[in-house]
Amino acid sequence: MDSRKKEAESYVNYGTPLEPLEEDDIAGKKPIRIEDQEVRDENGRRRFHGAFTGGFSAGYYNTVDTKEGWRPAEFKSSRSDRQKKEQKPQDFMDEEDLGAFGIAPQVLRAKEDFGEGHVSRKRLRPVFATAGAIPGLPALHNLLHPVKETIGIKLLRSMGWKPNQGVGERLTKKEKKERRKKYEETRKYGCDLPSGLQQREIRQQTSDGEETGDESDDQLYAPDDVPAFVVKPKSNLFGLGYTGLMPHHVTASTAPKSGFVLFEPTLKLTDRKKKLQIAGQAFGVGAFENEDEDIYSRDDMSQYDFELGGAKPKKKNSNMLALPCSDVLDGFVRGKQNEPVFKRYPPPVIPKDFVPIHRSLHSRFDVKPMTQAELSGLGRHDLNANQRAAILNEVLSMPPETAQAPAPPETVSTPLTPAEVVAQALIQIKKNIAAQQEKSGQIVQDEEQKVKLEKTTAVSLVIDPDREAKVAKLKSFVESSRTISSFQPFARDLDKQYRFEAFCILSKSNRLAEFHLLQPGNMTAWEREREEVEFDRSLTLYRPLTATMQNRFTSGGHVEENIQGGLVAQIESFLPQETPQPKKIPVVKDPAKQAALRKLFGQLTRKQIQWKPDRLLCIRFNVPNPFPSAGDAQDSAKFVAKGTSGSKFSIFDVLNAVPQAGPSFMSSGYDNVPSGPVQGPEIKVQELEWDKAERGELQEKAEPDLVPEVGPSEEIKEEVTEEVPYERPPMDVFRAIFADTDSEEEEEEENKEEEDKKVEEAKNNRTREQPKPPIVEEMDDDAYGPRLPASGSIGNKVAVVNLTAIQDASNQVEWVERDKAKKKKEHKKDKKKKDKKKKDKKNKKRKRRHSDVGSSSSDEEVDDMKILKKIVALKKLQKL
Amino acid sequence: MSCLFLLLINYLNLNSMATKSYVGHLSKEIACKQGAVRAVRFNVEGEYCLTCGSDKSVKLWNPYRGALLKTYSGHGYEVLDAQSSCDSSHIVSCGMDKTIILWDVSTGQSLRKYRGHLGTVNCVKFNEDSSVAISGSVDTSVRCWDCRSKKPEAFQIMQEAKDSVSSVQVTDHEILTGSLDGQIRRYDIRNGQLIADEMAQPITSVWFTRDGQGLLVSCLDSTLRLIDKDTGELLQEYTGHINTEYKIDCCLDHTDNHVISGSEDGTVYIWSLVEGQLIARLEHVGSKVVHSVSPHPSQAWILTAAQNSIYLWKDAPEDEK
Repeated sequence: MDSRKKEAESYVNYGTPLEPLEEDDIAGKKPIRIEDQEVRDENGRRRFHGAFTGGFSAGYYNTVDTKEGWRPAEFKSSRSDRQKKEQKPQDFMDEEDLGAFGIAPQVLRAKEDFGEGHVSRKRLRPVFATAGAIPGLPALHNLLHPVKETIGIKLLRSMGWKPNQGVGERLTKKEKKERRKKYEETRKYGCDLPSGLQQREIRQQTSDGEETGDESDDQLYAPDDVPAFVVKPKSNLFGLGYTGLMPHHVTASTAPKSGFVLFEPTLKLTDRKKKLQIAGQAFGVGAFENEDEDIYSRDDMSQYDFELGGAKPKKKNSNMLALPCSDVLDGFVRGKQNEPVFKRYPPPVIPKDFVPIHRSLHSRFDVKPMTQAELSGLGRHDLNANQRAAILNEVLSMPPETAQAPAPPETVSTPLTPAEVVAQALIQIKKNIAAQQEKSGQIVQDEEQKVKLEKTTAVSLVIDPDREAKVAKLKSFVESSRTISSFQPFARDLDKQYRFEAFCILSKSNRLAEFHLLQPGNMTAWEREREEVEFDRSLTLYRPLTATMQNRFTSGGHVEENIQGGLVAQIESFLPQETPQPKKIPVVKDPAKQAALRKLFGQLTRKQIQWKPDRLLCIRFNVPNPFPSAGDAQDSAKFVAKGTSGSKFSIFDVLNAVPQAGPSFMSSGYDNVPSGPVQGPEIKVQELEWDKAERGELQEKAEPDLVPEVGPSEEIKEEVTEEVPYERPPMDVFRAIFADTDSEEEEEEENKEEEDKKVEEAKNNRTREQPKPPIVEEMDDDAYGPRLPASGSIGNKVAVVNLTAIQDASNQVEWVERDKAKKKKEHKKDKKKKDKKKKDKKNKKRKRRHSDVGSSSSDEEVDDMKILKKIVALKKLQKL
Repeated sequence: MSCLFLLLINYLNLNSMATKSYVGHLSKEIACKQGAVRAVRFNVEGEYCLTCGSDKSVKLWNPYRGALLKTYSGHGYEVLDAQSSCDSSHIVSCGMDKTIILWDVSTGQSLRKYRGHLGTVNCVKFNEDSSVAISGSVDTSVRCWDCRSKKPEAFQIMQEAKDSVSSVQVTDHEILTGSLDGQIRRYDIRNGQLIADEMAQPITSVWFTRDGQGLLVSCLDSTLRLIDKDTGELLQEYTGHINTEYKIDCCLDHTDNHVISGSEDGTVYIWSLVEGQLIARLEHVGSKVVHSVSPHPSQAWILTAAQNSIYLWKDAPEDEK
């Protein structure tokens, strides 16, 4: 036994074992006996009955009748209208019986043309058996047949021809043989037959030979079918007769006729005993074979010829060059006809005084005034390089006198080295910069003087007679601070564009009142106003993008200085002769940065601002929310999305955003940097508060100041405990929505009671107190569940209970209410538990309730409520 | 100032306790075979370490044996920072593919992929109980991602920085960020305040002292500064190393006695915290920049990363132990 067990253990089981058969199952799985089988019709009725249960039932009530009854084909014949139609036996037969009595079945069937076995040659394309990897005719070729035959084959058929026969006179056996021989001889000059065809022919031959054994010469035979000579179209670009490395080389059954064997065919088709046999290595080496050196036939490129005609003959002697036709390549002949020379026509000569501008001809009678462009000479050809440079404000442009003067001869004679060129350019740049700086310095002085002047003459401006001087000054101011801006909305009207730029500058320096001085005198007041409005609008249109861009990017400090200084500093390294200039330290305007650079860390470098962490962040960090009353996480998320970039960034955010504390677009960049980091969050806080104010929550936030300190902390705790994200709401909520009506009834009862009370209290309060401020009522909309019924009145009731604390009831009330609300909730929960326990009682109650409203349990609840309220109020008092 | 005084006393006491000089001995050098090692980080216990490679992979090592334990691949571009969670069951990593990935350590699968940053994410840290991942990015934002829920978006975005946020540190109630705009910003969650300290130099790395009273700031002017957290005053400066181009980590060792920083001359510099004197230089032969440094949480051991290898430095030679 033990050994057996061991044996059993040593077996390895594969697969899942079948469940062991139980005896009951075996019994149940016996085939149903014939007598138990029942035949039922499509309606599930039993068709055959035993003799005692009704017997056989078939057909139409056990008849061959049908519901409609049986009727033979109608036949009517009268003297006037005699029936000519012959009666056929079919008229008296059922359709399904026709076949049984030899009458052709009336079923749709494919015609012979379309049926099986029909061979048509219309689409029988020439098949090149050797093209595929599998030798012989393609397999599909025999399976797929075209549908229609050509008219030629039809004609042949009608003349007695059969497929696979040749066309022509019938021949005797002898003649046939001769012809075949002849054909084979001739065939050698034709193209090679595909191997499959060859084999077929051989087989035919042999079968014919067998036939001939017992037949005389008198008998005539149809001639052999001559395979059609198929011209294969040449579709490649190889040389004639080139076949490349075709797969049939590998399976070639015959040795190539050429002198050497390229490589051993891995697949051999041997025709032994008329059966195709495949031999070779292509199918891998068997387990008992040991030749694995050359599984896949390898061949070298050395086995191939790369030239036609065998080995190349040795090069001919150089004597060949002495031949008269030495410049002609081998195999080429010098042409006899010369190449035709095309005559060339030179382009027409342009007259010297030609101007490449088209001016339409005018009749001398309608003299048109010259256009603005023509007058000002803004045409492309009216300007020279320097003028254009001046327009483009190019710094690198040479001064006009040097540019106009012919190039100095020494530079021409001695080409400059790159370093020298750079040096020269640098000197020029420096000169330009110096000139600019001087200019700007003058301007600054001018401005200062001007400011002084203006201060002195500020009063007299209105009635100042010398307007011209002021205009000139203003213009010079505008000119000084004018920069080329890319935004030119009025480029068409240059004057207007100038005025617009002046408008921008003036509006930036808060001198917009003087703008009217720049407007031409011939403009009416209305036009002036309108222009100002227009400018203002286009200014605001232009501003947002730059402003927002400035918000998004940090300026690199002094742009101008950096660039100029940087450039000069960089290029100076090229210049050996220049004395090193003192390094320019970028001026930092931010006091905090200055302090940090001076290592005065501390208050100067520190900035504290309010920051509102997300509610979830507080929860995750396990830290009480510093702003418990502020909006929830969604609000902050919304706010973030409202900012310049939310979680999903799109360029449209930037475009639509209203600039914050709008720095004007002309500012040079660094003015508004220091305020940047601080401004953002401050604005945020303001916005938040504003939002809340809109929702009527601001008062609530202010509330905790007036309230005892315990309040907020309790609230925080509650929030922290309550606000777990993705929590399923408590069952109470569902119950409140989906529970039976009796709970609603309860509530209704409560409501009624409380309303009654409210009315009473209102009566009382009117005498003692001023009416409640509406804010308190709004307070109940907070996140403390559904609105309590007539909560204000309950608060008042507490106030009535604590007679001393009436005065500041309005402040207390909310807190009391909240506590109450919580406790009431809890109380309700308890109540529901109780309800569950006392279900049967409840039913009784229901009956009772229908009779008298507002008794029993609801009364008890109200009592409980009262006690609770009292306790809470007392607690409050103690804390106060 | 009183605070500074207390701090000094505190450190002096500590110094007297741990008088052993800080001399590093190269214990192990591991070629990580993941391209340039962008960061190396000890786990909470200091048993294992993570390396972030430029070949988009994060690798988990036992640095003492030099054994590669696991490779986490799934980032779309270079990984720049990683940290393991407090229970070492998760890893959070970030990189130049703008994503933050939360990994399961044992399976190597990515549990979450947080997308939302608009640029390369420079740094990422877990909070104390590893329920929030806080990341700083080139897009100047610091974002907080909830690892508990399946929320795919950041639940809080701090946009105050004006330039790329290079470094983030987290304590139980604070988030400290250093930005290239030269400000360190401390978000105090408990008080709902943002305290920004101007450093006037681009900041590459920030570090909290263990007592939470000081902030170590590494600036691009080759200076480390110790800032008093409460007042913002400068307590000490540490110079000698070179840091003008790269984001180079700085840190304090487990006793808070030594300031450690990488450098662009292939050495790790170690200063004494109180005196500000250079104590030791750990030469990395053949490497130019040591950009990542991670101190062991309980031993005087350091992990450094330079080029494509990491180095384990111990306070005493191996054979002594």
